[in-house]
Amino acid sequence: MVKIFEVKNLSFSYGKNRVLKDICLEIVDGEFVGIVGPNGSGKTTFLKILAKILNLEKGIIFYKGRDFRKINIFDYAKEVAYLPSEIKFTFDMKVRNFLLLGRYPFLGRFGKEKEEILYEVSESLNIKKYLEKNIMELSEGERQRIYIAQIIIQNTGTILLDEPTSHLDIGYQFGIMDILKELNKKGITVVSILHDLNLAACYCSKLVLFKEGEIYKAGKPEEVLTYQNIEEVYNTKVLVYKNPFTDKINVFGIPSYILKKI
Amino acid sequence: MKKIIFIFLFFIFSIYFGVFFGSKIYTIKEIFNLSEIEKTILLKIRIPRVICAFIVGAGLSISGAVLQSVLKNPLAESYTLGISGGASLGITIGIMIGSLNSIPFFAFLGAILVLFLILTISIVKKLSTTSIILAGISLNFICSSLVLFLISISNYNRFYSTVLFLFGDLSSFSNRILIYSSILIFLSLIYFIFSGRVYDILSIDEEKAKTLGVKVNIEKNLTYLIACLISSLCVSLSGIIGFVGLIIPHIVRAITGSIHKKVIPFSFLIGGSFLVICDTISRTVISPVEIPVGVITGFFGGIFFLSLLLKAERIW
Repeated sequence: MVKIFEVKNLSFSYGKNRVLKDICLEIVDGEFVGIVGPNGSGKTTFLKILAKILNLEKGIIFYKGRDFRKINIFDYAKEVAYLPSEIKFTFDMKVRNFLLLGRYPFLGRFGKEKEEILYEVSESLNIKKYLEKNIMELSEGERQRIYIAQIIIQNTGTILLDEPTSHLDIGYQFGIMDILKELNKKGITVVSILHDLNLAACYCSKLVLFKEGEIYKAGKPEEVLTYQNIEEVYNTKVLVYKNPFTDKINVFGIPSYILKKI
Repeated sequence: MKKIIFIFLFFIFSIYFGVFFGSKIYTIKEIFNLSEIEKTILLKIRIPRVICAFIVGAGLSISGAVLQSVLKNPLAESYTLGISGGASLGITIGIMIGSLNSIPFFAFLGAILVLFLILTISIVKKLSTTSIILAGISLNFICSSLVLFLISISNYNRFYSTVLFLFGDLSSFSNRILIYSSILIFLSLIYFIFSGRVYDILSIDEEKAKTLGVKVNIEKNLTYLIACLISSLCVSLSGIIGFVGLIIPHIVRAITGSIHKKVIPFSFLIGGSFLVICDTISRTVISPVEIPVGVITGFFGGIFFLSLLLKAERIW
């Protein structure tokens, strides 16, 4: 098994504010990793370091055995793609043109675009009807599909996503996760921050639970999502059980007013 | 395709209008039987002026287009960021020191200084897109006031021409500066067009840009540097001409879409043509008296700027 990421003693701080402390983690080729944890626990910072958006300050990361710091971002973009939690456009743009920008790591300034891949991907994601539309005209769910399509066009072995399903209705949530699962089956390593623990339990092969800048627990969903862990990290009461239909972990939050009645 | 033909027709019309109209209006027939004096006037005065107007308009427009992209700010241009003001202050100081040949150099220094200032302020204070523009316009006013102050306390007796200069004026420019400005602005145009994809990506999202392999800081700094160079050349030629760099890229985006490989060359063509037409109007409308061209562009540009602000939520 090839280790995609091997993170050792990673720490990071914004000024004096220490956000990540002594993170150690291994991500292996073909895994579907969900990063979970409360708001402000350092998930996004961790993902941004893996994406080479933030500089690696303290600690060591190996990417496929190579020293992470020595890989330049242009080469890295051929290997690892990233989707931020929010994209703010300055100007409206045709979907087709937006998608083609995913080829930049292979084309650079001067390379000539080939449109075949565009049609292939938009066919498989069923977004052909949007190609000639402007991106701002689309709904949030449709837009998220377009962003994912751009990442598929970037054609990398690893993809990092920051809450790809937030703000989406349940239909689009499962739609996006299904696409990611499909990619994962084709051998792509997926690392995604997820807020919805049930989605995480359904789709991920491995979960990493963050608490206050540290990894509280990492492992299989049923090892990580125990009620003790969740109550400790999220500071709320939950009911955890195995869904007999999906055979996956389900987590129910319990409102405190009901808890008082019991 | 129709749009492209329309843009080229606009370009040809503007050149025709600029060359044939003025204090004396020529017909096509007349142009072939000119007296020696008329020929000299046409070749030595009017045509260079048309070229100058074109280069300035084109330069301001392409620098506006790329600044809007790298700052992710639809209101950015060298005027609203105060860069032009900085350049004019640099020029004034250069003139007072007495080195007329190095005017563009002083303009460049002033422009870079103001840009550095405004970028630092915006990063330290985390200003919003609109606040950056407010800061830029304030800096512009500070610089213009300093220019007027410096001129008043010196014994120059050139108060009127300085005012003209601050309003933008194409009636006096050095041919030498025009030649190398044309070359440099043309080279910048080529660089910008080839960086089109980079500007597309930068206008979307900086984090996304990094993970697509764009060296964000290098690209941005290089763009700032070139944009400052262009604006300082334009200010050296024509003084401060506001709003051209703001409105032209927006109009072009409405025509061609927001892909920079198209936006930049067409901003060059339309921006140049637009300023040629404005300049021709400024010297014909109450001929033989000339209105500073900045009065005309400022009038149209100001109205456009206002309408942009009022439709704000649609733009950003």
